[in-house]
Amino acid sequence: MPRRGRVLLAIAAALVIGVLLRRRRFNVPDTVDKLVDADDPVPSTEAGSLVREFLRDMNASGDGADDVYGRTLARLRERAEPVVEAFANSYRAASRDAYNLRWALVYGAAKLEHPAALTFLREVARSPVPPEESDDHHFSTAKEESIIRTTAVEGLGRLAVGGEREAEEGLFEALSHPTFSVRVTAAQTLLEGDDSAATRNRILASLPANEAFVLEIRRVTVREVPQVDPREHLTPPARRSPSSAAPPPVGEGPGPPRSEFPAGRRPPTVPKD
Amino acid sequence: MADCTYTVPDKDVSGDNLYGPRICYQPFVDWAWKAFRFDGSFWGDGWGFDDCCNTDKPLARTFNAIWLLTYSAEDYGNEDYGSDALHWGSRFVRDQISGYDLRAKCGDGSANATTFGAGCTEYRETVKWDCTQYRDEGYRKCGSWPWWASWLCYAWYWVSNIVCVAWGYVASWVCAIGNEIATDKRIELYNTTFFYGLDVPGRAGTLVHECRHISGKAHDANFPSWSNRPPGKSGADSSWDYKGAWMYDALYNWWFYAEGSRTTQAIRDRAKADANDVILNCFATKPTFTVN
Repeated sequence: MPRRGRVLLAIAAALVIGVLLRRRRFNVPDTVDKLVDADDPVPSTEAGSLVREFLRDMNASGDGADDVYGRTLARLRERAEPVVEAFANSYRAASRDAYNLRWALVYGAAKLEHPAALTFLREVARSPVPPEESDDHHFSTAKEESIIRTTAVEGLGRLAVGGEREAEEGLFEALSHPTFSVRVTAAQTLLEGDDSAATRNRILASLPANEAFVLEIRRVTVREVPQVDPREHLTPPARRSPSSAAPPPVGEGPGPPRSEFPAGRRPPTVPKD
Repeated sequence: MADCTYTVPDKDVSGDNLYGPRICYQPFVDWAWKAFRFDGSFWGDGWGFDDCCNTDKPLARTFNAIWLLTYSAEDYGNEDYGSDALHWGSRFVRDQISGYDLRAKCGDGSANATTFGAGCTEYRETVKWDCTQYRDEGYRKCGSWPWWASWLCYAWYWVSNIVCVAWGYVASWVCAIGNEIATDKRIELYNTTFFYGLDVPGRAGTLVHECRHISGKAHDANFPSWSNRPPGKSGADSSWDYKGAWMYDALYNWWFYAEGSRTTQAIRDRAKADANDVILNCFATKPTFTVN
Protein backbone atom coordinates (compact mmCIF):
# COMPACT_ATOMS: atom_id res chain seq x y z
CA MET A 1 0.00 0.00 0.00
CA PRO A 2 1.41 3.45 -0.87
CA ARG A 3 2.42 5.69 1.99
CA ARG A 4 -0.41 8.17 1.36
CA GLY A 5 -2.92 5.33 1.58
CA ARG A 6 -1.53 4.17 4.91
CA VAL A 7 -1.73 7.69 6.32
CA LEU A 8 -5.33 8.04 5.18
CA LEU A 9 -6.18 4.65 6.68
CA ALA A 10 -4.60 5.66 10.00
CA ILE A 11 -6.58 8.93 10.05
CA ALA A 12 -9.82 7.04 9.29
CA ALA A 13 -9.10 4.51 12.05
CA ALA A 14 -8.38 7.30 14.53
CA LEU A 15 -11.66 8.97 13.60
CA VAL A 16 -13.64 5.76 14.08
CA ILE A 17 -11.98 5.11 17.46
CA GLY A 18 -12.64 8.71 18.49
CA VAL A 19 -16.30 8.44 17.58
CA LEU A 20 -16.67 5.11 19.39
CA LEU A 21 -14.98 6.48 22.50
CA ARG A 22 -17.25 9.52 22.39
CA ARG A 23 -20.33 7.29 22.15
CA ARG A 24 -19.08 5.17 25.01
CA ARG A 25 -18.53 8.22 27.18
CA PHE A 26 -22.21 9.15 26.93
CA ASN A 27 -23.40 5.57 27.34
CA VAL A 28 -22.39 5.04 30.93
CA PRO A 29 -25.38 4.87 33.30
CA ASP A 30 -25.20 6.85 36.54
CA THR A 31 -26.12 5.54 39.97
CA VAL A 32 -28.37 7.41 42.37
CA ASP A 33 -29.35 7.12 46.01
CA LYS A 34 -31.90 8.68 48.32
CA LEU A 35 -30.52 10.91 51.05
CA VAL A 36 -33.54 11.78 53.19
CA ASP A 37 -37.11 13.01 53.03
CA ALA A 38 -37.18 16.81 52.96
CA ASP A 39 -37.71 18.55 56.31
CA ASP A 40 -41.32 19.32 57.10
CA PRO A 41 -41.54 23.00 58.08
CA VAL A 42 -45.20 22.75 59.18
CA PRO A 43 -45.27 23.19 62.99
CA SER A 44 -46.61 20.37 65.19
CA THR A 45 -49.32 22.52 66.69
CA GLU A 46 -53.08 22.23 66.39
CA ALA A 47 -53.13 24.87 63.65
CA GLY A 48 -50.15 23.16 62.02
CA SER A 49 -52.10 19.89 61.88
CA LEU A 50 -54.88 21.71 60.08
CA VAL A 51 -52.36 23.08 57.56
CA ARG A 52 -51.00 19.57 57.06
CA GLU A 53 -54.55 18.29 56.52
CA PHE A 54 -55.08 20.97 53.90
CA LEU A 55 -51.88 20.02 52.06
CA ARG A 56 -53.01 16.38 52.05
CA ASP A 57 -56.63 16.99 51.09
CA MET A 58 -56.01 19.56 48.38
CA ASN A 59 -54.64 16.75 46.22
CA ALA A 60 -56.69 13.83 47.50
CA SER A 61 -58.68 11.63 45.15
CA GLY A 62 -61.42 9.05 45.32
CA ASP A 63 -65.10 9.14 46.14
CA GLY A 64 -65.97 12.18 48.20
CA ALA A 65 -62.51 13.78 47.97
CA ASP A 66 -64.05 17.13 47.02
CA ASP A 67 -66.35 17.03 50.04
CA VAL A 68 -63.44 16.20 52.33
CA TYR A 69 -61.45 19.08 50.87
CA GLY A 70 -64.42 21.44 51.33
CA ARG A 71 -64.83 20.38 54.95
CA THR A 72 -61.11 20.83 55.63
CA LEU A 73 -61.24 24.36 54.21
CA ALA A 74 -64.26 25.14 56.38
CA ARG A 75 -62.41 23.93 59.48
CA LEU A 76 -59.41 26.07 58.56
CA ARG A 77 -61.64 29.13 58.18
CA GLU A 78 -63.14 28.57 61.63
CA ARG A 79 -59.67 28.96 63.12
CA ALA A 80 -58.36 31.36 60.50
CA GLU A 81 -56.00 33.43 62.61
CA PRO A 82 -53.81 30.67 64.09
CA VAL A 83 -54.05 28.78 60.79
CA VAL A 84 -52.76 31.75 58.79
CA GLU A 85 -49.97 32.10 61.32
CA ALA A 86 -49.12 28.44 60.78
CA PHE A 87 -49.16 28.94 56.98
CA ALA A 88 -46.88 31.97 57.35
CA ASN A 89 -44.50 30.28 59.79
CA SER A 90 -44.26 27.19 57.60
CA TYR A 91 -43.57 29.39 54.57
CA ARG A 92 -40.78 31.20 56.37
CA ALA A 93 -39.29 27.98 57.76
CA ALA A 94 -39.41 26.13 54.42
CA SER A 95 -36.21 25.64 52.53
CA ARG A 96 -35.99 28.24 49.76
CA ASP A 97 -35.81 25.57 47.07
CA ALA A 98 -39.00 23.85 48.30
CA TYR A 99 -40.84 25.84 45.64
CA ASN A 100 -43.89 23.58 45.32
CA LEU A 101 -44.43 23.50 49.06
CA ARG A 102 -44.02 27.27 49.41
CA TRP A 103 -46.48 27.75 46.56
CA ALA A 104 -48.98 25.40 48.24
CA LEU A 105 -48.72 27.31 51.53
CA VAL A 106 -49.48 30.61 49.80
CA TYR A 107 -52.22 28.92 47.75
CA GLY A 108 -53.77 27.60 50.99
CA ALA A 109 -53.69 31.01 52.67
CA ALA A 110 -55.31 32.53 49.56
CA LYS A 111 -58.00 29.81 49.48
CA LEU A 112 -59.11 30.77 52.98
CA GLU A 113 -60.49 34.02 51.53
CA HIS A 114 -60.27 35.39 55.06
CA PRO A 115 -59.07 38.85 56.14
CA ALA A 116 -56.66 37.17 58.54
CA ALA A 117 -54.56 36.17 55.52
CA LEU A 118 -54.18 39.74 54.29
CA THR A 119 -50.91 40.62 55.97
CA PHE A 120 -49.22 37.37 54.96
CA LEU A 121 -50.41 37.61 51.35
CA ARG A 122 -49.25 41.24 51.11
CA GLU A 123 -45.89 40.30 52.57
CA VAL A 124 -45.42 37.57 49.94
CA ALA A 125 -46.76 39.69 47.07
CA ARG A 126 -44.42 42.58 47.76
CA SER A 127 -41.27 40.52 48.32
CA PRO A 128 -38.82 40.78 45.42
CA VAL A 129 -37.98 37.73 43.29
CA PRO A 130 -34.40 36.60 44.02
CA PRO A 131 -32.03 36.54 41.04
CA GLU A 132 -32.20 33.52 38.71
CA GLU A 133 -30.08 30.63 40.00
CA SER A 134 -30.48 28.22 37.10
CA ASP A 135 -28.34 28.27 33.97
CA ASP A 136 -30.91 26.38 31.97
CA HIS A 137 -33.95 27.98 30.38
CA HIS A 138 -36.17 24.95 31.08
CA PHE A 139 -35.94 25.16 34.84
CA SER A 140 -36.10 28.60 36.31
CA THR A 141 -35.93 29.51 39.98
CA ALA A 142 -37.20 32.99 39.05
CA LYS A 143 -40.27 31.37 37.50
CA GLU A 144 -41.01 29.41 40.65
CA GLU A 145 -40.59 32.50 42.82
CA SER A 146 -42.76 34.60 40.47
CA ILE A 147 -45.59 32.08 40.59
CA ILE A 148 -45.58 32.15 44.39
CA ARG A 149 -46.08 35.93 44.23
CA THR A 150 -48.75 35.91 41.51
CA THR A 151 -50.68 33.39 43.62
CA ALA A 152 -50.50 35.79 46.58
CA VAL A 153 -51.75 38.60 44.32
CA GLU A 154 -54.71 36.46 43.23
CA GLY A 155 -55.46 35.81 46.90
CA LEU A 156 -55.47 39.56 47.53
CA GLY A 157 -57.86 39.87 44.59
CA ARG A 158 -60.38 37.55 46.24
CA LEU A 159 -60.21 39.59 49.43
CA ALA A 160 -60.58 42.86 47.50
CA VAL A 161 -63.75 41.52 45.86
CA GLY A 162 -65.02 40.85 49.38
CA GLY A 163 -64.60 44.56 50.16
CA GLU A 164 -61.21 44.56 51.91
CA ARG A 165 -59.75 48.01 51.15
CA GLU A 166 -56.33 46.96 52.35
CA ALA A 167 -56.31 44.11 49.85
CA GLU A 168 -57.06 46.57 47.06
CA GLU A 169 -54.19 48.73 48.24
CA GLY A 170 -51.99 45.64 48.14
CA LEU A 171 -52.98 45.13 44.51
CA PHE A 172 -52.11 48.71 43.59
CA GLU A 173 -48.84 48.29 45.43
CA ALA A 174 -48.10 45.17 43.33
CA LEU A 175 -48.36 47.28 40.15
CA SER A 176 -44.90 48.62 40.89
CA HIS A 177 -43.40 45.21 41.72
CA PRO A 178 -40.08 44.60 39.89
CA THR A 179 -41.48 41.41 38.26
CA PHE A 180 -43.62 41.84 35.15
CA SER A 181 -45.94 38.87 35.72
CA VAL A 182 -46.77 40.16 39.20
CA ARG A 183 -47.68 43.57 37.72
CA VAL A 184 -49.83 41.99 35.00
CA THR A 185 -51.66 39.76 37.49
CA ALA A 186 -52.33 42.74 39.76
CA ALA A 187 -53.64 44.88 36.87
CA GLN A 188 -55.90 42.11 35.58
CA THR A 189 -57.22 41.33 39.05
CA LEU A 190 -58.03 45.00 39.67
CA LEU A 191 -59.76 45.36 36.30
CA GLU A 192 -61.79 42.25 36.94
CA GLY A 193 -63.22 43.94 40.03
CA ASP A 194 -63.74 47.36 38.48
CA ASP A 195 -63.16 48.21 34.81
CA SER A 196 -64.01 51.91 35.16
CA ALA A 197 -61.96 54.70 33.55
CA ALA A 198 -60.91 55.89 36.99
CA THR A 199 -59.43 52.49 37.88
CA ARG A 200 -57.72 52.20 34.50
CA ASN A 201 -56.16 55.64 34.98
CA ARG A 202 -54.99 54.79 38.47
CA ILE A 203 -53.47 51.52 37.22
CA LEU A 204 -51.78 53.35 34.37
CA ALA A 205 -50.30 55.86 36.79
CA SER A 206 -48.89 53.07 38.97
CA LEU A 207 -47.36 50.98 36.16
CA PRO A 208 -43.92 51.76 34.74
CA ALA A 209 -44.05 54.40 32.00
CA ASN A 210 -43.74 52.08 28.98
CA GLU A 211 -46.28 49.49 30.11
CA ALA A 212 -49.61 50.91 29.01
CA PHE A 213 -50.00 47.73 26.91
CA VAL A 214 -50.55 45.76 30.13
CA LEU A 215 -54.09 47.16 30.21
CA GLU A 216 -54.77 45.55 26.83
CA ILE A 217 -53.73 42.03 27.87
CA ARG A 218 -56.98 40.09 27.98
CA ARG A 219 -57.87 37.03 30.01
CA VAL A 220 -59.23 34.56 27.47
CA THR A 221 -60.27 30.93 27.35
CA VAL A 222 -58.05 28.33 25.73
CA ARG A 223 -60.44 27.99 22.80
CA GLU A 224 -59.89 31.65 21.88
CA VAL A 225 -56.14 31.36 21.18
CA PRO A 226 -54.48 29.91 18.07
CA GLN A 227 -54.13 26.14 18.38
CA VAL A 228 -51.64 23.84 16.72
CA ASP A 229 -52.00 20.71 14.62
CA PRO A 230 -49.02 18.55 15.66
CA ARG A 231 -49.22 16.52 12.46
CA GLU A 232 -47.31 19.41 10.85
CA HIS A 233 -44.49 18.83 13.30
CA LEU A 234 -44.09 15.07 13.56
CA THR A 235 -40.71 13.64 12.71
CA PRO A 236 -40.64 11.05 9.88
CA PRO A 237 -40.28 7.94 12.14
CA ALA A 238 -43.29 9.13 14.10
CA ARG A 239 -45.28 9.53 10.91
CA ARG A 240 -44.36 6.01 9.85
CA SER A 241 -45.12 4.04 13.00
CA PRO A 242 -47.93 5.31 15.21
CA SER A 243 -47.57 4.21 18.83
CA SER A 244 -49.93 1.85 20.63
CA ALA A 245 -52.86 3.19 22.62
CA ALA A 246 -52.85 3.11 26.42
CA PRO A 247 -54.64 0.40 28.43
CA PRO A 248 -57.63 1.53 30.49
CA PRO A 249 -56.55 2.93 33.87
CA VAL A 250 -57.19 0.92 37.04
CA GLY A 251 -60.84 1.04 37.98
CA GLU A 252 -61.98 1.76 34.43
CA GLY A 253 -62.44 -0.69 31.57
CA PRO A 254 -61.95 -4.46 31.85
CA GLY A 255 -59.10 -4.37 34.40
CA PRO A 256 -59.48 -5.05 38.15
CA PRO A 257 -61.54 -2.58 40.19
CA ARG A 258 -59.43 -0.10 42.11
CA SER A 259 -60.35 -1.58 45.51
CA GLU A 260 -59.11 -5.06 44.56
CA PHE A 261 -55.89 -4.02 42.94
CA PRO A 262 -52.94 -5.05 45.09
CA ALA A 263 -50.20 -2.52 45.57
CA GLY A 264 -46.93 -4.14 44.64
CA ARG A 265 -43.47 -3.47 43.44
CA ARG A 266 -43.07 -5.04 40.05
CA PRO A 267 -40.51 -4.06 37.47
CA PRO A 268 -41.71 -3.72 33.89
CA THR A 269 -42.24 -7.21 32.50
CA VAL A 270 -41.21 -6.18 29.00
CA PRO A 271 -37.50 -6.69 28.23
CA LYS A 272 -35.26 -4.22 29.99
CA ASP A 273 -33.11 -3.37 26.96
CA MET B 1 -21.09 5.61 46.81
CA ALA B 2 -23.67 6.70 44.28
CA ASP B 3 -22.90 9.25 41.55
CA CYS B 4 -25.65 11.51 42.82
CA THR B 5 -28.28 11.75 45.55
CA TYR B 6 -31.72 13.22 46.05
CA THR B 7 -34.00 14.48 48.80
CA VAL B 8 -37.69 13.67 48.47
CA PRO B 9 -39.90 16.77 48.79
CA ASP B 10 -43.51 16.81 50.01
CA LYS B 11 -45.39 14.29 47.85
CA ASP B 12 -48.88 15.58 48.74
CA VAL B 13 -48.02 18.93 47.24
CA SER B 14 -46.23 17.63 44.15
CA GLY B 15 -49.15 15.36 43.25
CA ASP B 16 -47.03 12.19 43.55
CA ASN B 17 -49.26 10.82 46.31
CA LEU B 18 -52.29 11.37 44.08
CA TYR B 19 -50.92 9.65 40.98
CA GLY B 20 -48.66 7.10 42.69
CA PRO B 21 -51.33 4.45 43.41
CA ARG B 22 -52.61 4.73 39.83
CA ILE B 23 -49.35 3.88 38.11
CA CYS B 24 -48.93 0.70 40.14
CA TYR B 25 -50.72 -1.41 37.56
CA GLN B 26 -48.73 -3.91 35.50
CA PRO B 27 -50.49 -3.29 32.14
CA PHE B 28 -49.81 0.45 32.50
CA VAL B 29 -46.19 -0.09 33.57
CA ASP B 30 -45.50 -2.43 30.66
CA TRP B 31 -47.22 -0.17 28.14
CA ALA B 32 -45.53 3.04 29.33
CA TRP B 33 -42.11 1.38 29.50
CA LYS B 34 -42.31 0.36 25.86
CA ALA B 35 -44.27 3.27 24.38
CA PHE B 36 -42.10 5.95 25.97
CA ARG B 37 -38.88 4.18 25.03
CA PHE B 38 -37.32 3.82 28.48
CA ASP B 39 -33.72 2.70 28.01
CA GLY B 40 -33.41 -0.10 30.62
CA SER B 41 -29.68 0.31 31.20
CA PHE B 42 -30.29 3.79 32.56
CA TRP B 43 -33.14 3.07 35.00
CA GLY B 44 -31.51 0.51 37.33
CA ASP B 45 -28.96 1.38 40.03
CA GLY B 46 -31.30 3.34 42.26
CA TRP B 47 -33.43 4.96 39.55
CA GLY B 48 -36.31 2.59 40.25
CA PHE B 49 -36.44 -0.28 37.72
CA ASP B 50 -36.87 -2.86 40.48
CA ASP B 51 -39.14 -0.64 42.54
CA CYS B 52 -41.29 1.07 39.96
CA CYS B 53 -44.26 1.85 42.22
CA ASN B 54 -42.12 3.70 44.75
CA THR B 55 -42.72 7.40 44.15
CA ASP B 56 -39.61 8.29 46.10
CA LYS B 57 -37.72 7.04 43.04
CA PRO B 58 -37.25 8.69 39.66
CA LEU B 59 -38.90 5.98 37.52
CA ALA B 60 -42.23 6.07 39.39
CA ARG B 61 -42.19 9.86 39.33
CA THR B 62 -41.76 9.73 35.56
CA PHE B 63 -44.61 7.21 35.32
CA ASN B 64 -46.76 9.66 37.29
CA ALA B 65 -46.15 12.34 34.66
CA ILE B 66 -46.95 9.86 31.89
CA TRP B 67 -50.16 8.82 33.65
CA LEU B 68 -51.26 12.46 33.88
CA LEU B 69 -50.33 13.02 30.24
CA THR B 70 -52.26 9.94 29.11
CA TYR B 71 -55.46 9.90 31.15
CA SER B 72 -56.31 13.53 31.89
CA ALA B 73 -58.83 13.90 29.08
CA GLU B 74 -62.24 12.62 30.16
CA ASP B 75 -62.34 10.52 26.96
CA TYR B 76 -58.65 9.59 27.08
CA GLY B 77 -59.10 7.03 24.29
CA ASN B 78 -59.64 9.85 21.79
CA GLU B 79 -56.12 10.92 20.86
CA ASP B 80 -57.06 12.55 17.57
CA TYR B 81 -54.49 15.09 16.42
CA GLY B 82 -57.37 17.20 15.16
CA SER B 83 -58.53 17.56 18.75
CA ASP B 84 -56.81 19.61 21.49
CA ALA B 85 -53.50 19.29 23.36
CA LEU B 86 -55.12 17.56 26.34
CA HIS B 87 -56.20 14.75 24.01
CA TRP B 88 -53.12 14.41 21.83
CA GLY B 89 -50.42 15.27 24.41
CA SER B 90 -49.50 11.68 25.25
CA ARG B 91 -49.70 10.48 21.65
CA PHE B 92 -47.50 13.37 20.51
CA VAL B 93 -44.81 12.50 23.05
CA ARG B 94 -44.97 8.79 22.18
CA ASP B 95 -44.81 9.44 18.45
CA GLN B 96 -41.97 11.93 18.72
CA ILE B 97 -39.93 9.82 21.09
CA SER B 98 -40.22 6.71 18.91
CA GLY B 99 -36.76 7.23 17.38
CA TYR B 100 -35.18 8.21 20.70
CA ASP B 101 -34.36 6.65 24.08
CA LEU B 102 -35.49 7.98 27.45
CA ARG B 103 -32.75 7.98 30.06
CA ALA B 104 -32.30 9.09 33.65
CA LYS B 105 -29.02 10.84 34.46
CA CYS B 106 -27.47 12.76 37.31
CA GLY B 107 -26.96 15.98 35.35
CA ASP B 108 -25.22 18.98 36.83
CA GLY B 109 -28.27 20.38 38.61
CA SER B 110 -28.90 23.21 36.17
CA ALA B 111 -31.19 21.60 33.56
CA ASN B 112 -34.19 19.34 34.02
CA ALA B 113 -33.99 17.61 30.62
CA THR B 114 -32.02 17.69 27.39
CA THR B 115 -32.72 16.25 23.93
CA PHE B 116 -29.72 14.90 22.05
CA GLY B 117 -29.68 14.16 18.33
CA ALA B 118 -32.25 16.69 17.17
CA GLY B 119 -29.64 19.23 16.07
CA CYS B 120 -29.72 18.33 12.36
CA THR B 121 -33.50 18.54 12.11
CA GLU B 122 -33.31 21.70 14.19
CA TYR B 123 -30.86 23.21 11.71
CA ARG B 124 -33.09 22.27 8.77
CA GLU B 125 -36.19 23.73 10.41
CA THR B 126 -34.36 26.92 11.39
CA VAL B 127 -33.09 27.37 7.82
CA LYS B 128 -36.59 26.66 6.48
CA TRP B 129 -38.14 29.20 8.86
CA ASP B 130 -35.54 31.86 7.98
CA CYS B 131 -35.96 31.20 4.24
CA THR B 132 -39.72 31.57 4.49
CA GLN B 133 -39.38 34.77 6.49
CA TYR B 134 -36.95 36.11 3.85
CA ARG B 135 -39.39 35.18 1.06
CA ASP B 136 -42.41 36.71 2.79
CA GLU B 137 -40.52 39.90 3.53
CA GLY B 138 -39.41 39.98 -0.13
CA TYR B 139 -42.97 39.49 -1.38
CA ARG B 140 -44.07 42.46 0.69
CA LYS B 141 -41.35 44.60 -0.91
CA CYS B 142 -42.33 43.34 -4.38
CA GLY B 143 -45.83 44.67 -3.80
CA SER B 144 -44.48 48.22 -3.95
CA TRP B 145 -42.75 47.68 -7.32
CA PRO B 146 -44.41 48.75 -10.60
CA TRP B 147 -46.70 45.94 -11.80
CA TRP B 148 -44.64 45.23 -14.92
CA ALA B 149 -41.47 44.63 -12.87
CA SER B 150 -42.96 43.00 -9.81
CA TRP B 151 -43.21 39.52 -11.39
CA LEU B 152 -39.41 39.53 -11.71
CA CYS B 153 -39.14 40.39 -8.03
CA TYR B 154 -41.62 37.66 -7.01
CA ALA B 155 -39.78 35.12 -9.18
CA TRP B 156 -36.48 36.05 -7.56
CA TYR B 157 -37.76 35.50 -4.04
CA TRP B 158 -39.61 32.32 -5.04
CA VAL B 159 -36.48 30.74 -6.55
CA SER B 160 -34.29 32.00 -3.69
CA ASN B 161 -36.62 30.36 -1.21
CA ILE B 162 -36.48 27.01 -3.01
CA VAL B 163 -32.68 27.04 -3.19
CA CYS B 164 -32.46 28.13 0.43
CA VAL B 165 -34.82 25.41 1.71
CA ALA B 166 -33.08 22.78 -0.45
CA TRP B 167 -29.76 23.75 1.13
CA GLY B 168 -31.28 23.20 4.57
CA TYR B 169 -32.45 19.71 3.61
CA VAL B 170 -29.15 18.61 2.02
CA ALA B 171 -27.09 19.95 4.92
CA SER B 172 -29.35 18.28 7.47
CA TRP B 173 -29.11 14.91 5.69
CA VAL B 174 -25.31 15.04 5.73
CA CYS B 175 -25.48 16.09 9.38
CA ALA B 176 -27.90 13.25 10.19
CA ILE B 177 -25.56 10.62 8.76
CA GLY B 178 -22.75 11.90 10.99
CA ASN B 179 -25.15 12.08 13.91
CA GLU B 180 -26.22 8.45 13.54
CA ILE B 181 -22.59 7.39 13.83
CA ALA B 182 -21.55 9.72 16.63
CA THR B 183 -24.59 10.05 18.90
CA ASP B 184 -27.33 8.03 20.52
CA LYS B 185 -30.55 9.91 19.96
CA ARG B 186 -32.01 10.36 23.41
CA ILE B 187 -33.79 12.49 25.95
CA GLU B 188 -32.02 12.70 29.28
CA LEU B 189 -34.05 13.51 32.39
CA TYR B 190 -32.01 14.88 35.23
CA ASN B 191 -31.74 14.43 38.93
CA THR B 192 -32.68 16.53 40.82
CA THR B 193 -34.57 19.16 38.85
CA PHE B 194 -36.84 16.97 36.69
CA PHE B 195 -37.65 14.28 39.23
CA TYR B 196 -37.73 16.35 42.44
CA GLY B 197 -37.90 20.05 41.46
CA LEU B 198 -41.01 19.75 39.29
CA ASP B 199 -44.49 18.66 40.31
CA VAL B 200 -46.34 16.04 38.26
CA PRO B 201 -47.89 18.43 35.68
CA GLY B 202 -44.53 20.22 35.41
CA ARG B 203 -42.88 16.92 34.45
CA ALA B 204 -45.61 16.19 31.90
CA GLY B 205 -45.22 19.66 30.38
CA THR B 206 -41.45 19.14 30.14
CA LEU B 207 -41.95 15.93 28.14
CA VAL B 208 -44.21 17.79 25.69
CA HIS B 209 -41.70 20.66 25.53
CA GLU B 210 -38.73 18.39 24.82
CA CYS B 211 -40.61 16.40 22.19
CA ARG B 212 -41.35 19.60 20.29
CA HIS B 213 -37.57 20.04 20.04
CA ILE B 214 -37.30 16.58 18.47
CA SER B 215 -39.11 17.84 15.39
CA GLY B 216 -36.40 20.43 15.00
CA LYS B 217 -37.93 23.56 16.44
CA ALA B 218 -35.23 25.31 18.41
CA HIS B 219 -35.87 28.37 20.54
CA ASP B 220 -35.33 31.27 18.16
CA ALA B 221 -35.18 34.34 20.39
CA ASN B 222 -33.68 35.84 23.50
CA PHE B 223 -35.75 36.42 26.62
CA PRO B 224 -37.26 39.91 26.40
CA SER B 225 -36.55 42.83 28.70
CA TRP B 226 -39.68 42.16 30.81
CA SER B 227 -39.04 38.43 31.32
CA ASN B 228 -38.31 36.88 34.71
CA ARG B 229 -35.68 34.73 32.96
CA PRO B 230 -32.39 36.57 32.37
CA PRO B 231 -33.27 39.15 29.67
CA GLY B 232 -31.13 38.89 26.55
CA LYS B 233 -30.28 35.24 27.15
CA SER B 234 -31.25 32.73 24.49
CA GLY B 235 -34.04 30.22 25.10
CA ALA B 236 -37.22 32.16 24.30
CA ASP B 237 -39.50 31.73 21.28
CA SER B 238 -40.19 34.68 19.01
CA SER B 239 -43.98 34.49 19.30
CA TRP B 240 -46.95 32.21 19.95
CA ASP B 241 -47.34 31.86 16.16
CA TYR B 242 -43.85 30.37 15.91
CA LYS B 243 -45.45 27.21 17.33
CA GLY B 244 -42.34 26.28 19.25
CA ALA B 245 -41.76 24.32 22.44
CA TRP B 246 -43.01 27.11 24.72
CA MET B 247 -46.30 27.29 22.85
CA TYR B 248 -46.77 23.52 23.15
CA ASP B 249 -45.82 23.67 26.84
CA ALA B 250 -48.24 26.50 27.65
CA LEU B 251 -51.02 25.08 25.50
CA TYR B 252 -50.85 21.69 27.21
CA ASN B 253 -50.95 23.26 30.68
CA TRP B 254 -53.78 25.55 29.61
CA TRP B 255 -55.94 22.70 28.34
CA PHE B 256 -55.13 20.68 31.45
CA TYR B 257 -56.25 23.59 33.61
CA ALA B 258 -59.41 24.12 31.57
CA GLU B 259 -60.59 20.56 31.10
CA GLY B 260 -58.25 18.16 32.90
CA SER B 261 -60.01 15.28 34.66
CA ARG B 262 -58.96 12.58 37.17
CA THR B 263 -57.04 15.31 38.99
CA THR B 264 -57.67 18.02 41.60
CA GLN B 265 -58.50 21.72 41.41
CA ALA B 266 -55.21 22.58 43.13
CA ILE B 267 -53.14 20.76 40.49
CA ARG B 268 -55.16 22.42 37.74
CA ASP B 269 -54.65 25.85 39.36
CA ARG B 270 -50.93 25.20 39.48
CA ALA B 271 -50.97 24.30 35.76
CA LYS B 272 -52.74 27.59 35.07
CA ALA B 273 -49.99 29.47 36.91
CA ASP B 274 -47.36 27.59 34.89
CA ALA B 275 -49.10 28.43 31.60
CA ASN B 276 -49.38 32.11 32.51
CA ASP B 277 -45.74 32.26 33.47
CA VAL B 278 -44.72 30.91 30.05
CA ILE B 279 -47.09 33.24 28.20
CA LEU B 280 -45.82 36.33 30.01
CA ASN B 281 -42.12 35.56 30.07
CA CYS B 282 -41.01 33.16 27.36
CA PHE B 283 -41.98 34.92 24.13
CA ALA B 284 -40.08 37.84 22.61
CA THR B 285 -43.26 39.58 21.47
CA LYS B 286 -45.42 41.40 23.97
CA PRO B 287 -48.23 39.25 25.36
CA THR B 288 -51.80 40.07 24.38
CA PHE B 289 -53.60 37.41 26.43
CA THR B 290 -53.37 35.32 29.59
CA VAL B 291 -55.27 32.31 30.91
CA ASN B 292 -58.81 32.98 32.07
